[in-house]
Amino acid sequence: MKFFGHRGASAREAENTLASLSRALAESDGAEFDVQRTSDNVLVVLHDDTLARTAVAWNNNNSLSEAEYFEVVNTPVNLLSWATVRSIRVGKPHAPFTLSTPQHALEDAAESKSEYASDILACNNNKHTEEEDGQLLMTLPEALTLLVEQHPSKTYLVEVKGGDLEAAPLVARDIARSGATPQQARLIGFDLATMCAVKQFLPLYHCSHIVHQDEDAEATEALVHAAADAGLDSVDLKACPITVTPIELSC
Amino acid sequence: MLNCAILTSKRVLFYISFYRPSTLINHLIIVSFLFPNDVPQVTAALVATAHQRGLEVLVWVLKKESFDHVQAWNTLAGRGVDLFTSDLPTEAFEWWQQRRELKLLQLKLMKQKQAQRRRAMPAVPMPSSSPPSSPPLSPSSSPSYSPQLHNKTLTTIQEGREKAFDDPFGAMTPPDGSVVFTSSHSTTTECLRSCCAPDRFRSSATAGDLILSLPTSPSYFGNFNAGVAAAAAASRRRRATASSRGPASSLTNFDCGIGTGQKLKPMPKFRRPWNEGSAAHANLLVSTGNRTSSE
Repeated sequence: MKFFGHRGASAREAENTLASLSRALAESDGAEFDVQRTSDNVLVVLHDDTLARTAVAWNNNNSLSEAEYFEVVNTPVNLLSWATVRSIRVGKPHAPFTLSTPQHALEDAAESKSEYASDILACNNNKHTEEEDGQLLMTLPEALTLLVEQHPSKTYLVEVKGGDLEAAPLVARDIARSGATPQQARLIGFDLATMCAVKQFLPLYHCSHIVHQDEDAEATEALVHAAADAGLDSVDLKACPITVTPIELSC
Repeated sequence: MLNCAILTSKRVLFYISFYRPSTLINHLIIVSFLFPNDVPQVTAALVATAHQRGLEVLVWVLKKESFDHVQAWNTLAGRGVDLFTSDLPTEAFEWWQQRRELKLLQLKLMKQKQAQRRRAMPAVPMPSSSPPSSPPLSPSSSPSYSPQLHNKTLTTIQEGREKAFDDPFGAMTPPDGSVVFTSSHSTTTECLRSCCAPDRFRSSATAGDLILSLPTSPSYFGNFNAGVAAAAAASRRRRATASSRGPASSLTNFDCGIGTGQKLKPMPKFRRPWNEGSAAHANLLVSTGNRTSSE
């Protein structure tokens, strides 16, 4: 069984960042990450539709006001330009708090020693200008360069976000330009139509449909057959793969 | 009296505690444990279904905090899952490294066995860059060929004039000696070198060879067999053409095509070489013109 890092090595590094992908490539068989399309058709390595959950700071040279910053991080990425997205630095997720959480709620949480809230407060107090706050987001070509040049024996699982058919040719373009082979780049996605489109552009590359598993085994099996009928190469089961049940020993 | 019970699910625990309270005793020791058969999602049967349809199975976990640990990884590996996506907690690297070292050890042992097997066999000259006038490729014409020295992986069946080789890809290798195995992939090369008759193995192609490039991962063995049959047919056609127009002068490269086995199409050119450990391609050299063996 191949072993891949989810959003890089997201348990130990900020997800979908250079540090996270580098660690995953070094310490496993490969890395999975997500791509979102910006308004100027740049594919950026990011999971969420917005930056609200992961943004921690902005770049030193950026002239955004605090209000603009909050507006940017809460705007869907596909409505922002790559230059704007690049101005935001990301770090470990803030869940369950976001940057739009009211200040008083954060302060209350900080008093109760919530890890995330104190992080956000620390960032707020520093006005997010410290260089060490967070990391820059990457584009898909940058991520592929890391793989092809430094870890050529490893593999990426590139998740194309569901429903964005326009992303398919862009993904194909970036992969072709990077020179990544079918063994180095595999494509996955929740949307069957999107994955079929990707497969059309990259017929030699492994394309997988991510399947939400159902309690009904037959329903899941039907999804497996649908993926096979669509000409895809694998199914990616989003699932609780096993059930952890306590054994009660009564003595 | 020591009364010890192992309850396999919460439902059973509820039943006993509700209807048979006397069975519950002083204290419970709760052990976190995996029950692969309890409310399964990624079952071995599901994985088998996907594999039967030619799909690989990837798994990533919804509730990662609960399921991203060594026991889960081992269980899924045991069920035939091809790929697991983990958040890579601290213990992940150690687990992955151990498995990798084990795999390398297995590979090393396999190579040692192959080397021993090769040493046991007589040296056979490799006709790697033989001119078109080189001797025919059929096993019977090779003076050093000795079927007795081949082990179980290589069985030579002689029935009259027909010879068939039990190669790792099936038994459809045409008996006329027109198909020779070779590979540019080191792992596949080792496999072919050790399992195919030495007469059927050559390290490189020469002018006049028709090459069919076929995937050789286990799931494609069926296609490989079909490809061998296609290669044989193409060889016969070529020989018929060559006999009237003279020998072919250039290499022809085909890809057998995954899924059909019979559909020949130009092999795509990649800017970078295929990676070690990836799905390998084995080339079938179909000798043409006067390099073909006698039928």
